Amino acid sequence: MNTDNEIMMDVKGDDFDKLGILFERHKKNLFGFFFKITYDRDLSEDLVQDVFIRILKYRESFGGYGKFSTWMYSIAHNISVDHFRKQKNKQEDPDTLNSLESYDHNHNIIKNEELDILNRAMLKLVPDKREILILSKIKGMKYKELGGILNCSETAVKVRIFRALKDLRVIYSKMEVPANEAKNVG
Amino acid sequence: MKQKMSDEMIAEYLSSDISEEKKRELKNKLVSSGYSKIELEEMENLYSNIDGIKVPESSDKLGLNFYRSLGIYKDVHSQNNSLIKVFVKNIRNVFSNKYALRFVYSLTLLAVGWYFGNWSNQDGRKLQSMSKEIDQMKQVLMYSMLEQPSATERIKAISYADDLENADDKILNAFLDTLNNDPNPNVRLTAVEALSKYSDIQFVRSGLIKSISVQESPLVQVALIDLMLKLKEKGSITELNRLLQNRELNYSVRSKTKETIQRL
Repeated sequence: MNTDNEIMMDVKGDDFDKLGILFERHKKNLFGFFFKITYDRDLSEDLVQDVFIRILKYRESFGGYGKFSTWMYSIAHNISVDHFRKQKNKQEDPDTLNSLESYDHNHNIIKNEELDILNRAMLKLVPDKREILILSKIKGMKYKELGGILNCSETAVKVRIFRALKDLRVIYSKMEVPANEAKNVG
Repeated sequence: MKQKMSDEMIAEYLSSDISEEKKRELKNKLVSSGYSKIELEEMENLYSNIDGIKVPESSDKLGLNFYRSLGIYKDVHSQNNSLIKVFVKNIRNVFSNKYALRFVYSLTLLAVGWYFGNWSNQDGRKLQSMSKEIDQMKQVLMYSMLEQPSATERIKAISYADDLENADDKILNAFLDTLNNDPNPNVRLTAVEALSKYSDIQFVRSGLIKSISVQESPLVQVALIDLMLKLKEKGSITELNRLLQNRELNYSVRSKTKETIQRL
């Protein structure tokens, strides 16, 4: 089986159909990444699509030395930054505000209270902090690689992960208290 | 500095890449530098729970859209490539010509002049027709995207207009329709932005004016009011007054409307 890098080099040489192989290999993980930072299925699908369009557009910049997935997640990171920058200038999209509720009711995915609070706390976290936590949880993702994606040192990555987690813990604790109080009243 | 080192150490402690032994060592160091075991365990639990966030299955639309875009990209690329080939072939013809070689210095300018003259007439026409085809393709894509249930998709459709060389009346009418009827305020806002570029066209301008009193979202109302001021459109005063008659009008929008009427 050809490696991602070999396939990407073919795409770089204008063998565009090979991009389909990379799409099939990575669509699930990329979709998961975007979903966990946006909690919006339609939007996540659009953003995955944008990643592959940019891969085609900037194929010449793929050197083939580093891992393809690092390069791909750098593109995904840029797309995520662009998306949240645009969102900031607009009224919060009702689709996003309602996403967690519809996700909760329609898909019946949130099975326990702890996870429910975690999802809500994640949505309250600022996007770049939410993103670094999700990126750091991608299987096989090393801090050094993450530094390459976020264009910062490994040390900075570690500090940023800690700070994001610290903020998440504060938000989580605040949400946990009313949830427990409600349970006691009930 | 010490704080930064502890922060780093915690991230390292949480990493799944380290051995159990290293983890214990880091834990001891962190505890001796003031962290409580409970605090560390809580952080570890929280970080580990992130893995449990469930992700739904993506829809079939993801693959369909990807392969559709890939197809479009391939078509556009092959059309561009054939144009480049024609260009290279013509250049080669010019320079393989015996006369051109013999009198290369004297004829270079003439040959280049001839080539560009010829190219601009013939291939320029091809380029124009290709560009027109791409525009048509984008328009088809845009109409189908405007019908999508996802607001993001509809915003994207309107954004395609920026890439079009010229938006025709049909597109501009579709945008006006979106401006007045789309349920999502962000989509309507994007429609205002897109239409503002065509505000010198009479029917677009009057469509924008008529839309003022139709809008319910303060954001869209403000965008339209700002646009009227920018265009110095006195014809909008009647609609702005009509907007003021709305008792539920947002306070800031009301003040902005009054101010705009005065300035116009």
